[in-house]
Amino acid sequence: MRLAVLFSGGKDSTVALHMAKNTDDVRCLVTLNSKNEESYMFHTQNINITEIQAKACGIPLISWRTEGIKEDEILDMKDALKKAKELYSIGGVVTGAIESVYQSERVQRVCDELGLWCLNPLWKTNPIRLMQEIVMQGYEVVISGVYAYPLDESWLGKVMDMGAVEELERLSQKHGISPCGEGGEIETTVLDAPMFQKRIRIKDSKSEYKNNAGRLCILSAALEKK
Amino acid sequence: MIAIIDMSSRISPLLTDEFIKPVIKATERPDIACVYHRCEIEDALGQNPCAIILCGTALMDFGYVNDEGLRDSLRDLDSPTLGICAGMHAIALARGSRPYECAEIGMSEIKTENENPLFSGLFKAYSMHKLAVDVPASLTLIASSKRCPQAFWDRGMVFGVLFHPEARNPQIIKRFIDLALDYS
Repeated sequence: MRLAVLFSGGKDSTVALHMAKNTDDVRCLVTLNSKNEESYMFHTQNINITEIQAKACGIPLISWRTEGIKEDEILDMKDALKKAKELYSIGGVVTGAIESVYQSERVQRVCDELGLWCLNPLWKTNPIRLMQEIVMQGYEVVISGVYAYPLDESWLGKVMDMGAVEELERLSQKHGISPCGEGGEIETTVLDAPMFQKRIRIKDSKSEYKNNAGRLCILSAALEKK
Repeated sequence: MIAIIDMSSRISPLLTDEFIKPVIKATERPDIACVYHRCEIEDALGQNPCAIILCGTALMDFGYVNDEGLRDSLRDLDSPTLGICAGMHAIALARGSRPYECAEIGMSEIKTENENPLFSGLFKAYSMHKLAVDVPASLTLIASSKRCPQAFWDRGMVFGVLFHPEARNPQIIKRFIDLALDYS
């Protein structure tokens, strides 16, 4: 089936892309570029990097602006997917949803209205096992946002390796945070993945951290040979 | 063996990951779960499974509605069976019910209508369906939402639920498996 992948540039949508690419014809990526950093629906951290990620994996990107106003952003997503359907004749949409009913039901509704299949291959997957798989398959993922105690500034820019996964598992058991960040506790940015033809090198970045929340802003990045 | 029946029209790992794996996880018995596609249901029944779970499928997928072979296989089934969404529809269609349009996407409030071994009271569950079915005369309504029947039971070991318990109510699937294992 010809598919679009709702793509935020974080680990979950990148893994979903990888899975879809292994079985189906991924025609484009769709990114909702939200002005609202508090969006319930869309990842906003380093969202501009999806352009370079799309180039890294050689798939066209539809980057769609949204003001990020609650529920109106769903209409913006519908317009973006409608465009994907027009341009690439897609029959379905893939998401990286794991647990969020809020996100999942909205994407399902929009797909239904557009006559598109909605596929969620990570639905209910074990988040720790997913992160272990990501590390074992050679993804390069950095933590680019932390939004919950006890995740502090030291996590920003950290590469996700087995040690980081173990630490996230320990913190999730002790403090009840979602280890995969589906509650918005962490945001990630993928710099390399098995289906990337080139990897991304961060050339310049800055960290901001205040009141148990912080982010790594990627100011400049480039593609380089793997 | 627990026979997990894939109800999808396209055999795709993406659908398996979404609709089959979470159900297997909810059984807490992945060691004895075996997946069959609905076109292989006779093979599954031939293995004398201790439990059968007919899974849901994608919102756009209605292929099972016209699957006459599946309908024939399910018509007189009285082995421990749990139908989820499309699986519930399939059990009802096999017993003479007809589907009608009724969409629910998201969390729904479910009200228990009759005492049963799987759940009780008022609870919330994740729904994702465009069709509903009336409860056939041979089955008892055990739950409903404001929109439509949500669960039935044959007062033996055959159950159907329209919502997706694997999303937010996995204990219902675990309870069904415990009952089925005790029964066998």
